[in-house]
Amino acid sequence: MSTLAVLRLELRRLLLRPWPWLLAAAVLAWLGWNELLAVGAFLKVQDRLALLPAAPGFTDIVAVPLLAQFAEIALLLVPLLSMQALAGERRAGTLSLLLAQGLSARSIVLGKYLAQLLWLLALLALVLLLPLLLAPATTLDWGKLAAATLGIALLLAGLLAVGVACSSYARQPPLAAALALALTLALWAGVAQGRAPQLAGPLLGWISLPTHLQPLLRGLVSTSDMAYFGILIALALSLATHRLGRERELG
Amino acid sequence: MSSPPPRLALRAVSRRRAGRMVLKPTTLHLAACEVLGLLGVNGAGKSTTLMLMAGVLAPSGGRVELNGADLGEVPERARRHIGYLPEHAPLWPELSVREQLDAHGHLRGLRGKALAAPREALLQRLDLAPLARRLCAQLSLGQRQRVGLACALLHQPDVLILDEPGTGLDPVQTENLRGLLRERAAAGAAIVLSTHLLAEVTALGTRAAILHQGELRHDAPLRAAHAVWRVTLGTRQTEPARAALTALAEAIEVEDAQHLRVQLRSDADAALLARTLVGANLALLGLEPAAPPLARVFMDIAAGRGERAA
Repeated sequence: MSTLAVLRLELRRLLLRPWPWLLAAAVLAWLGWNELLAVGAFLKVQDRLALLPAAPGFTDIVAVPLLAQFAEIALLLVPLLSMQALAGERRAGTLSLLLAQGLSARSIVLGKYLAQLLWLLALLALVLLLPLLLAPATTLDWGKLAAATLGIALLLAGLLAVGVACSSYARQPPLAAALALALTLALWAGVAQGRAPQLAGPLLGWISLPTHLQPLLRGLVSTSDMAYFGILIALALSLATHRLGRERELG
Repeated sequence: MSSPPPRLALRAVSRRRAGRMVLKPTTLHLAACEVLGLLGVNGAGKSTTLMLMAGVLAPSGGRVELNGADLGEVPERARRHIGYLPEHAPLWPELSVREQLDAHGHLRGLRGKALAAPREALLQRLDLAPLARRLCAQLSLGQRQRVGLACALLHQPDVLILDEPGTGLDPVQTENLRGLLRERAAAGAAIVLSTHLLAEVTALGTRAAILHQGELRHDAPLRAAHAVWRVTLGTRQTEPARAALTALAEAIEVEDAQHLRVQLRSDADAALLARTLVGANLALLGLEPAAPPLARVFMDIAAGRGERAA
């Protein structure tokens, strides 16, 4: 019940702030423009694709790369969104209002996390609309698109959990954003592992985000990738809950 | 039959921050209908004490009890029983005044009519109805203060903890606030208010506590400061004066042949005392409060000369 009340409050505040809307508008404008370019390129190579026996389709050339671009944007977008979650409340003094209601740290963290996740998933749905609007004029690989969408949703959930955890430790939102961005980039650094496997060991490879995102973008859904994101989310939210639980002691 | 536990009790509560003791072990009790004025110079530890009472901070030592239960063990009790107005009345700036109250109500578990009725009553009572749709970010200091107060009162708590509630209020609003708090106290709420203004405490309080350098230096009923009078007689016979004052005194103590210390009943005052003695044809040479007024106690403590609470 209290989680729901925090979620409701946070969602309302997100919808009333100009900042999330500006971020969403910028993301959609950028991806819309890139989709136009991708569709143009796709149309240009139609004659050559027709000669290939298993040629990549609209999903491989336009839809999934668009989602992959959104994933890269999310590396910056999510820290900018999540920085306000707890650090913003702390700076504005409104965290004491939540603590004085006797709300548990878990309720506060979960409520805020779920509200921001809903906002990110709504943005993902809008991004998804870009290729879906062209579905009547082309042939979509629905299975691959669903797997890629699941991958992006899990990535957003994971990055957001990391962002909320950083926000719980910081006193200033910009510091929370910087910390979250640094951690996110560190997790993303596995891209280098993909390109130069000799530089990174198997553990570094396993903890890197792209190791688990790339199969999903290719349409491969495995329990180990799902488990990875589950562990990342649970670990980050546990850290956030633990830190907020100590707020009453630390002050 | 055992007496009911105090609404709020601090039992040897202390708070340490960054290795420094910001509140030394402090014991305080607050019963129903009591209004405790918490005084102290800047940095005395007033806001820390209030945050400990509200459950926003956890004590480093001792325990805070709410209706007999340890607040640290049942923090959810704070939701129902405590109304807290922090210093500077922080508000969520994106929300309108009505939404702010709704958000507080939802966090306290209020829904439907249980929320709408007190919300509208408080909007009217605190003169916030014309501002109900205005964003909190656009409010003046006094308006923010009133919204914060409405949020603290929304769920009709048993314990009200108010940090500088009079900040930014004009005289009309100040009187309105005092009336509202008196009503809540009369309805059984225990109220703690921290303020720099002694007049605020003497106008509203039933008790005053003074903190200095993180230590409770004074905790006494306010009435005591005005209810005990030292009478200087023009004769060296105290017995006729004793007899005349029996009806309006709770206790009379003879200091010497010319001086009496009289503790008045709650319905008597110094003017009645003087009229009674003059009416009994007794020469009255002097009448002064036996206990020093609160302002003097406060100034003495602030100067480092004052008393220490037991």
